[in-house]
Amino acid sequence: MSAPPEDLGPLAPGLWRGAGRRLLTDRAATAALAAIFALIAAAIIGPHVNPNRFDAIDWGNIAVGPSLRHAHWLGTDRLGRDLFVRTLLGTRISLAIGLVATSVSLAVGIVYGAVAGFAGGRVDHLMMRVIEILSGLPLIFFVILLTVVFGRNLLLLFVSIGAIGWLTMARIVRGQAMVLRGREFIEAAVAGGAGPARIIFRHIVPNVIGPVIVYATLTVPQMILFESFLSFLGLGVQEPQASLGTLIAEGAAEMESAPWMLLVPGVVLAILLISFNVLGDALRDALDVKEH
Amino acid sequence: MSAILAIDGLSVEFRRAGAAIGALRQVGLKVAAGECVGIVGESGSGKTQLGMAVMGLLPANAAASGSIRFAGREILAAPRALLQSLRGAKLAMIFQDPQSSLTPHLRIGVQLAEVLVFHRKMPRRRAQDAALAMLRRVGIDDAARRMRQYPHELSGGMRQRVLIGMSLLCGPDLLIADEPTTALDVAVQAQVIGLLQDMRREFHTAIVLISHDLAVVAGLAERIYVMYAGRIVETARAADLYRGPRHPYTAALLRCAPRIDAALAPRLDTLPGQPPNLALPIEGCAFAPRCWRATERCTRERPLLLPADATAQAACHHPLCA
Amino acid sequence: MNAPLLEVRDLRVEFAAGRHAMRRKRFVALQDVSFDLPAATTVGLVGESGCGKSTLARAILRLIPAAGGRVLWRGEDLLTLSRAALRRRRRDLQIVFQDPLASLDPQMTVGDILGEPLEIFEAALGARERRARTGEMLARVGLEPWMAARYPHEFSGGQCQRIGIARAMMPRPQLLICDEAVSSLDVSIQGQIVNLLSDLQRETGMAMLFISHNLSVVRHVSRQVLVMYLGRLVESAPRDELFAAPLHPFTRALIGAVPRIRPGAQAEAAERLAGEPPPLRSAPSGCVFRSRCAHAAAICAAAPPLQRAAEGHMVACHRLHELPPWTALPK
Repeated sequence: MSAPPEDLGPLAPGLWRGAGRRLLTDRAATAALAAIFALIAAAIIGPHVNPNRFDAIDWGNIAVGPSLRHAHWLGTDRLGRDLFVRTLLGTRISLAIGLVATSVSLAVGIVYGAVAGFAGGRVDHLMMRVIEILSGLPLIFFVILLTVVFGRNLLLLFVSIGAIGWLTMARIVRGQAMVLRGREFIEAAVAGGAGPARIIFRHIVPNVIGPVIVYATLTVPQMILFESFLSFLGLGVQEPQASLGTLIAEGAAEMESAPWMLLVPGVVLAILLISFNVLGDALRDALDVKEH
Repeated sequence: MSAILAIDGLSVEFRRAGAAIGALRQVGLKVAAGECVGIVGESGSGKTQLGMAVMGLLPANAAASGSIRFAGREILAAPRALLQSLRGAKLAMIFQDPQSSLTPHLRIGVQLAEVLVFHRKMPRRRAQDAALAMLRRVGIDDAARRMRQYPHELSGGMRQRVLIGMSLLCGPDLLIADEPTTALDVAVQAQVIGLLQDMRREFHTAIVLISHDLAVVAGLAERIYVMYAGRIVETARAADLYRGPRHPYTAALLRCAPRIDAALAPRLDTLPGQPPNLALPIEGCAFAPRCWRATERCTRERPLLLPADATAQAACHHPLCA
Repeated sequence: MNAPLLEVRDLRVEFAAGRHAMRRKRFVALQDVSFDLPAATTVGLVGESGCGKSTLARAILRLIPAAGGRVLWRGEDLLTLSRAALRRRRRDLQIVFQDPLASLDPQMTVGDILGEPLEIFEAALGARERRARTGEMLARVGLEPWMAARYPHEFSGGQCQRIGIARAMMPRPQLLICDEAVSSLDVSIQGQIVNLLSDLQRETGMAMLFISHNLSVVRHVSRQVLVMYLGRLVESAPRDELFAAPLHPFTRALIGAVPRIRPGAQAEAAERLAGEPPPLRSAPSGCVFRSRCAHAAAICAAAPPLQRAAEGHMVACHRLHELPPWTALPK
């Protein structure tokens, strides 16, 4: 609908500003966002409010249950290490892996996908074959291979998970970029003398960010889950460090005698995963300009 | 002649993001049986909403008030079942985009026959024959083969012919044609207007022709309503309207569009500014900010649609000619 | 007339149809199109939808590849320029698109959209100067400088088209191609945009290629008019001559089909065009118009050359001299 300029209202909301407002009117999304921030804050601050250290062994309290009567609020494991501190530490590492791996996959995937999608033709063909080959390789063997060759270290874990995660991201971005390439404003940019780099970074990337952010939000829990899976197999984080995955693996072994060892990290992981998924869905709705 | 369609005080408001957009404001209109009436206006004038309101196809966030009487029966806020039995049978509509009005995965013949099977409870075989006859009547050659084709295999003009044929299958009393030629090339446009003309003569169907182009309406309509910002600002017999428009907006529309048979001037006549924002209250005459004849009175007091002579009405404090 | 700024010679574009690379069939979308465009002049291009008007515009600007021919810009062939040289040359040749909103990047403010050509072609310019130039241009096309902070979706169709024109004018081009630039606008807005384009042309002396299916608008703005049918130029003539005495049967039918405002004038219009153009990939051999032409004869099975009928008036029709005289439209 046409409107005379004086009726445009207060200063321009871009597509993003409106989206933020819409997101906050969604109750589930607000709750999810709050849960995520609370867990992040707890993971950072939490270990400091409890006197126990994550690798300190309390010989007097081995495998005790959760209680407020002693210093181990959420109990201890079989070695007498404090579960509250270890779970928060695990959350910190799991979150870090999820976020770093997602960032790696974002950075690589966006650039790779945007280039392939915009270039089209033979370049695109070649780039997509590379992706197909990579996604054909069994990821677990790839990670095992890396850990065998370079030893187990956290940085490597980050990079190797992220390095696989970008494949799907690149596919999504490429699809979006191919749609955009046919749009008139990209044609207008080409006609206006813009080079490929400018078109990709100024025009294509900003316009694919919407769907990409949604996917990235949904990628974080996948990455966390994947790390948990690797750790469960004993390929992830190394003792005495802990991630939610290693804690769950230890807990699973003691499920019958000490159920809290499984329940505590399990519940935290579940909250994390559900929150990210809810947030991702809500973001998708909020960013869908056509509906508003 | 009795009116087949009589609209009185029709208002339609859309609620969107907290704002109420007044798409139609106190619109009144009459169509006699077998008559062709043109509705002309620019985008946002409410002409499409008018057609939708008659068909009972307004979206869920629209609130309509007033009265729409079809063949003497109130159909605004009528039960869904009544509207459904009227639509496609007594009351038909064709749209600007013939592509999206046909189901893509069904053969043309099946879609046409379906109308008769549904409304007339006709046996499928007889419905097929009637559909084939109708395709021939709307000037589709090789109709038997076309019956077996899918919509995407037809050209735009042919699809519009199919839709016109489909809308006439049940012998409707009223056909609403919303920009039926806008998506077509000039040559095909002339063909479709010609077809509507012929069909009207043959079936005695009243037609409401909605268009942004006065010249398209000129070929068909006997009476014309001109809409601006949700209101009817002028109505007159077509010939009178073209010869001597009373509302400055109508005059501007006639003047602004370059005509192939008009003398060339170094510059095109233009209408400054833009139509008003319908989400905001409009005081006085909605056209006043763009009108060269506007006075202080126009910005204060909304002009009523008053009879100018036996057949014409205009809503203007300072009408042209007279 | 001054020396041509743009000379298009035998420009040919082919498209491939079909999904499988092996079985793909190539068909001609633009067949040996030649014309001149002098400085400070507007040449109009008319034809039905799908006849190749936009393809011609895009091929001239090398937005799509040409299969043959030359596009000479001040004597230099754009089709053989290196990519880098072509990008520099784009400064002189700009385009305005049909869909005003779709041709503006939705994630950029109007200021950024207008500033981009300056970033590309006048990289030395500071941010402040760029802002000043954008503001000036906004004012020039009838918008307000403060609108630079807004996003395209906040504007109406007419305003978006002003922004599109402003962007095209930013690098001070010498040729502006308007591809159906006013077709999607309301009648009352259309005139404003056409007048704006004429004013800009008068001020800058740029040439314009004005593409439209609307003959009335083309008649108003053009000095020379080209008529296209199924990828071929079928007639080219000075404006007044084309509309007063069209020669090609297609041109005549096209002019005859334009709706007139005077009730009744339409019916007597000379030649009615039957049917619709066939799709490009099944264009008839020989004269492409013969499947719809009332005057087609055996000779039309051979492709007619574009021949001179009068000064500046070219027609591609074998039966040029056997056609009945053009009956002027009823006045």
